[in-house]
Parts: sequence; C-alpha cells; structure tokens
Amino acid sequence: MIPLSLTLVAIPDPVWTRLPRDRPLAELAKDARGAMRRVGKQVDERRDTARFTRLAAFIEATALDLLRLSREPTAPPCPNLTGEPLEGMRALEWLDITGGPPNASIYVSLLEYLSSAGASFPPPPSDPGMNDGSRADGGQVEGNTIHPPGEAVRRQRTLAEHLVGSLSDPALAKLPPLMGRALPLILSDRLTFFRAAEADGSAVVEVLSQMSG
Amino acid sequence: MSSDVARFPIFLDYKRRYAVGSSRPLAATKDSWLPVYFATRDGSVLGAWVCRTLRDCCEIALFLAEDHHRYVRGTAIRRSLQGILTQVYHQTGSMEIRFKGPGPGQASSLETGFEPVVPSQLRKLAGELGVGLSQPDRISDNEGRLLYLRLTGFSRSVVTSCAQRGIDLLRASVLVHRDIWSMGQVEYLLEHAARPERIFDGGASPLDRLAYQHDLLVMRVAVLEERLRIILDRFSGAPPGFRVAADWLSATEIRYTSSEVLHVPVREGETILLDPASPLRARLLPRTLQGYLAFAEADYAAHRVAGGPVTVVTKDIARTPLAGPEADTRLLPVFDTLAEIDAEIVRRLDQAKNCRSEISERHE
Repeated sequence: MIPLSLTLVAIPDPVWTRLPRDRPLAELAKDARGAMRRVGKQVDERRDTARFTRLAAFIEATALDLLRLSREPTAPPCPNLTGEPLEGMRALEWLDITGGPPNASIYVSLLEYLSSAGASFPPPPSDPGMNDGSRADGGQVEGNTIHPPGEAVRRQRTLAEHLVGSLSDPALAKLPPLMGRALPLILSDRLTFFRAAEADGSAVVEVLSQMSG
Repeated sequence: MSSDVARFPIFLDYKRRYAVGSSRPLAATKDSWLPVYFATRDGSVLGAWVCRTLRDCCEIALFLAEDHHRYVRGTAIRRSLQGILTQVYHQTGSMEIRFKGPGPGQASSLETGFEPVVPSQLRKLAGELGVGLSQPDRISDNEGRLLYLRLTGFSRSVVTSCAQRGIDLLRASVLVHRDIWSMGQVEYLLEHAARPERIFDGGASPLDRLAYQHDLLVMRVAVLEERLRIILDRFSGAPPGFRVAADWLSATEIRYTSSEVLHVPVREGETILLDPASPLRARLLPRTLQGYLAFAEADYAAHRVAGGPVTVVTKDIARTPLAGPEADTRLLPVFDTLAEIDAEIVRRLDQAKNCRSEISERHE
C-alpha cells in the first residue's frame, strides 16, 4: 500500500466566500455540487464527471495553498489568494496515528469497508431537510471531500458521531485488528475537528496525498 | 512447407475488394470480410488475416504469419493470434475462431475462404503452449481463452493474487493485450492498490472522491514509473530495444539495474550514471504544484537523506523554488505534469470500462 496522508483543512467562512479572488471556493463548491447532481441525471455524464473532478481537484489544491500561506507568512505573495486574514485556518493531518506504519488509508479503508458492508451497517441518519436529489447515505456523502459551512459540515459531524457510537457494532468488530485499534482514535479526532468547524462556521476540505519518504 | 509470403497476394486481393476505399466498402453486407495486418514500426508486415465477426465467434478466411529475421522467432504467429483473440473478445465476448475454406467440390475463392482447417503453424503453437485443439476447423471458446492466458504468461504470483481477489485472469490479460496496463503495471497494481479489481473494471466513481483518490494515487505512481522508463530506455543512450531491469523495493521506490552504461538525463547538460556497478534507486513522488509546495519540508527532508534514492517528480516541480538552479541532480523530473498523467489515467480507466476498441490503444 502507498503510505497516505489525509489532511483535513478547516477554512473560515470569510476566506471560503471571498478567496480565490476570481471565483471563491464557495462558488466553486456550488459548481461541483451542481456537476455531481447533473451526473445523476445522466444527460452528459462524461462532461459533468470531468467537470466535477477538475473542480474538486482545484478546490483541494487551493485548500492546501491556503493552509501553506497561513503557516508561512513569509511565503511569496499570491495575488489571487491574499486579502483575507488566514488566522482561522486549521488542519488535522493523519500521519502516524496507529503506532504502526504512518498511513492514513485506515480511514479510507473504513469508508470502503462500510460501503461494501452496506446493508449490514446502519446508514447515517438521513436529513429530512435535504431535498436536492442527492443521497443521504453511501459514497456521495462518505466519500465527499468538500464540505461547505453549515449543513455539509453538520452532516459529517453527525456521521462521525454515529460511527463513534457504533464502534461496538458487529460489522465493525470484523475489521482487521490494526484498523480496529486505530478506529476510535481516528473517529474521535474527526469528530472533534468537525465539531469545532461546525461551531465556528468553517468549511472543511479533505485532501488525500501520498506521504513523503 | 510453402511460405506465407507466397500467399500474400491473396490478402492484397481481399484488401482491394473489401477494405475501405474499395468498390465494396467494409461491412456493406453480412458477407463482407475485414482484412487486418500487423506490422512493426518500420513497416515490416509480420501477420495478416481476413476475418468477419459473427454474433458469437470470428470467422477467418485467410491467415498469414511470417517471422522476420530482425525480430524474435515466433513473434509473428504469437502476436497475430493475440490480436485476433483480443479483437473477437471485444466484439463478441467469446474467443471462438472458425476457419473458413471451400466446401466439397468448391474451389477456394475470396468468398469461400482459403483456410478449411486450423493453419498448421497455429496448431503447432497451440501444442507448444500445451493446448490441444479438439476440432480440425476451429478453436473453441475454451481453447481460445486458455491460449490467450498462456500467450500472456502471467507470473505465478499474479495468478495467485488474482485467484485470491476473485479477479478474472482473462480480464487482466485483455488489459495487457490492449496495452491499457503493461504486465509490470498489472503486477504492481495487484500488489499495491487497495482494490485492484476495481481499477481493472474502470476505477471508483469520481463522485466518491476519497475512494477515487485512493485508486488514483497508486495509478499515478505506476504511470510516473512508466514515464521514467521512457527516459531510461529512449533518452539515456541505451542501444535500440534495450530495456533496463527493474524491481520494486516498496510501493513508491524502485531499483533499476543495467548491463549497459547509461547516462540518464536530469537537466540540460546533467546526467545520472546507471551502469552495472551502480544501480539507480528511484523514489516516485507524483504531486501537483500545490502539493509540492505544501509538503516541501517533509519531501525535502526525505530527499536529503545521504545515499538515498533519486526523487522522481512531475514537471510541476519546475514552477517551485525546489527546482531552482541550486537543485541537486538527484531530483529527476519527467516530461509530464500531474494533470497530464491524470488525463492519461482517466483515458485508460475509460478504455478498461468499454470493450469496443481495437487491438492496441496506447497513445505512443
């Protein structure tokens, strides 16, 4: 397995809605969500899938850029990404959480395990207010990496709470031992991060990368 | 035994009569034949056949294969059979081949065909591969599948891994013969991808972004290694046809060994030596521009280890301070950006999904 790192970047609302200057992340996320919805309608699935992929990749790359700029005040100026204070940027990086090989693929594997376990694992509680045609369970929510402030972050927090509460579920008991030991740590980290993001109205972008070394 | 070269004018007759541009264009009627030939880059025709696809099999009216002294003996017959089996599998889902010749009392003609029985050289090849052909005039679906697998020649570890993961070996063979993934890449993906079966079936849905990225990261390393190999094979002074040997040390590190002295180009005027005494260890690190900047500190710490491997990066590195004039020669950029590598991966996943394409589809 390739050693992976998963970086959760919390982006404060003023940054989310104003940067990059030419088209803010909030607008790009709406575009991505629109493309995702249109894929479901299968009108021009290929074009909309490519559009979603490009948008998601750009949002993730911009989130990394913003995080870097917030950490390195002396970094060369980037006109499209400056003008808003970046103090509120926070990140959670899963590198060495298991004591074993530093690898963030445990969370990704968990999501894949859950989607393959499907019927035997209870889906997260669906949101009665959501009426935009997207599914409340399955990969679209679990595998999504872009969570705008508000509803999407709340849904991720709910999902993390649900998973923490289900650690004794027989479906999770079947996980490999290393994964099983790491899960409580991963899920409680994630829950704490999303609770904080929900409290301060931040967006969260998840970036999966290859680890250095 | 007469040479197939002597029968080549018959193929040209088929081409004049049935190929595009002829008076009876391709597929105008159900009786049309499709002339196909297999040639090398220098234009030497090694194999030629005339076929038509029915609902569940392929009929062959003429089959010619002739080795050339400049190529490995047996290449012509093996590659021609691979081509026919790949084509018929794509078009029908079956690997049955029927050979067409004149009936009793008939003379051979373009309509009746020239191959009443399985050609002797094909029968001989099947025997060499340990596949007995049960009927005189056809290769059955099961025999075709077995021949296809034997022609591919996967290693025992691949066969075992496929069996453990429930992956159809034939599917993996088709990916290799269609040049979607090379044999080495199939082995790499089987060993290092979280869900290789999903990659072989066309990958995760891009909407399931985390799973998609999970697949993409491992495929990026595989394609980056392929790009590096192009540099090693074509731009480092290797003799024509020479290939360096490689073995993976981990999911992201590979070691190349060469019996020839090669000078691997790094930048303008700078090379890395690869010779029998000094193998080349390379760490593959495909990232976007933003990725290289965001992880620069950790990447550099790993790169700076004394005696460590060369770090192979994408062209995106050129726009970062890491590739400045003071950059060391152990940073080896390939010619592609990550966006180009990703586009190539998407194209291959699309090809893996649909089966309507022709024999070889690799862009070069």
